[in-house]
Amino acid sequence: MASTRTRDAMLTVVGFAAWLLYILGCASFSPDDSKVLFPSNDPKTGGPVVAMYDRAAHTSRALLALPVPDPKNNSDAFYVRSLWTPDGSRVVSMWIEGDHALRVMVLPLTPKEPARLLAVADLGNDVPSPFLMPPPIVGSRLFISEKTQIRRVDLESGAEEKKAVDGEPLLVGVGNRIYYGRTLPDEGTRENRVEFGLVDANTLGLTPMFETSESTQSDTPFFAVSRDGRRLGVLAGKEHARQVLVFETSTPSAPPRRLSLGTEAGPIDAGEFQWSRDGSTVYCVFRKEVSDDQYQFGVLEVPVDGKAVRQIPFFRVSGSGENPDVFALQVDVSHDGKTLAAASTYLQTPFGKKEAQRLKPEDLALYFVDLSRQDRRITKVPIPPLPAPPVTMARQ
Amino acid sequence: MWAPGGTLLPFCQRCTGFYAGAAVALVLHLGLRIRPTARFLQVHGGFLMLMIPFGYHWVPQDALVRCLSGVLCGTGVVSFLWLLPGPRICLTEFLSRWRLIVYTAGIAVALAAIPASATWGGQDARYALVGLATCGLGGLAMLAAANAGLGLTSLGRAPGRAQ
Repeated sequence: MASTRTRDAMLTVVGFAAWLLYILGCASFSPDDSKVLFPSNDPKTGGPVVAMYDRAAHTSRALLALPVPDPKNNSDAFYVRSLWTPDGSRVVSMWIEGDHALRVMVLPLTPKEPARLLAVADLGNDVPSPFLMPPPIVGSRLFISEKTQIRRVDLESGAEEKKAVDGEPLLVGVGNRIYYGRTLPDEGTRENRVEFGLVDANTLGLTPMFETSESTQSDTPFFAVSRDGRRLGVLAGKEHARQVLVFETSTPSAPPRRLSLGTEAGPIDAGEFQWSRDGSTVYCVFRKEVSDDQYQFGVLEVPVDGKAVRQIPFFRVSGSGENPDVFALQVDVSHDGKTLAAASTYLQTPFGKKEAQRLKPEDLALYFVDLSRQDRRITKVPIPPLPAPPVTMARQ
Repeated sequence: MWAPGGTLLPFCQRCTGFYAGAAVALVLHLGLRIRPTARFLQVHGGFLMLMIPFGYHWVPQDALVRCLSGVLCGTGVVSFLWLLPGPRICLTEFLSRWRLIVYTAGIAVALAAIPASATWGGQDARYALVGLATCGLGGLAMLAAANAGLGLTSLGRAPGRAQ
């Protein structure tokens, strides 16, 4: 009897341990929304900075400061894309160095691991997509799409695996799933065919889900997948007349819903878009010309059920003959679905460039939109401005 | 995460299976007044071990596998936490053939119904899953409290303390 009781007590401890391990293991797979990564400036050197904002403490700190880019190699803004690993323990920052190399910095947020700098070489003339669509990270592996292949990079060892994939694939990560979109060759009268499907994270094999010719684009359109995987949105239509096509992945042969992004107030250009947590709304960056050299930037809230599109304006940018890129503003929606964040860093005048200020200093900020409030309250967290451009002193 | 009826569940797919499965297992343990045999515990120990390759994503898995591994692991945890307080909650008996059949059928129904209702169900299924999983979480918490209480009581009765 006593031995049975001892056995039961020991097995109870095993049960407790299993439950505890389950809780710890499960929680580690989803970042907790407590921090936000955003691109910032080094006020001393003018170099790009990867910064992290702590939403509870209302403080931000620089995680990684990079040297000022050489203007000979980078005529435009220098983009750094930063992402979290799925367990929220590491920050992965990527930037292009030279013409053909992608640098990947893996920064642990715990002191147990070292930071790792990886080099992804041989990009050729392909422009990798990390700055247009966030590349998926599954476990500790990063997936990069190029013009003719998909590349998997182990973030711990730097080891790479490649798989040839035609059609300029683009990748989107949703949890542990990786979706791809790629163009297919014309077939008879069917032109502009685009195929969507899933990428096997281990074999890099493709499993097609459906194809469409609705996007009216000759290259792979930007797309986003809702968190439950039920809906896939595709950015379609011509410039100034953008639409989001919504496909139900369970009935892909059904015609997509067409969500028009233009409003009665005028044409609109659309950029990156994200799904709401419940898959009922699309949040899409917009740029609207309000006068000859003035552009309004913000986010459109587009309900899938066809209700009115809502504009959430952020700031205005002066173009001075050069259209500010709508893809320079990128958004993210928190995992709890209550907050949307965007940073205006890449719409400022690049360091060292002699041109009129495009973005007002007070608009250089990290923007938070409270999606749980009817008034969609916007909170701005200032980003340090760039230092004054260096003055060339003439020797007398 | 699943979104039956267009609204996301508050639990991830594996947690939905884990806590809803725990609720079903708890009801079966109470209703059938189960006193686990060694074989029963071995099988449920295997269910716990499932969480090592699946919970830590050593093997590729989809939503269904995540949920099923959660259901089985939740069932295993309940079986182990039931051992000490179970006989004090109700008069337990070793599994007879019919009890084993009912228990296995109950777990099989949970394995089929939980992912099915999460995938194809509407708002009603969502409420049912949230309720079931919340009951499972509450039931596990009560089992944990009962075990802790029994542990403290037995410590108080230990010979060293008595002297």
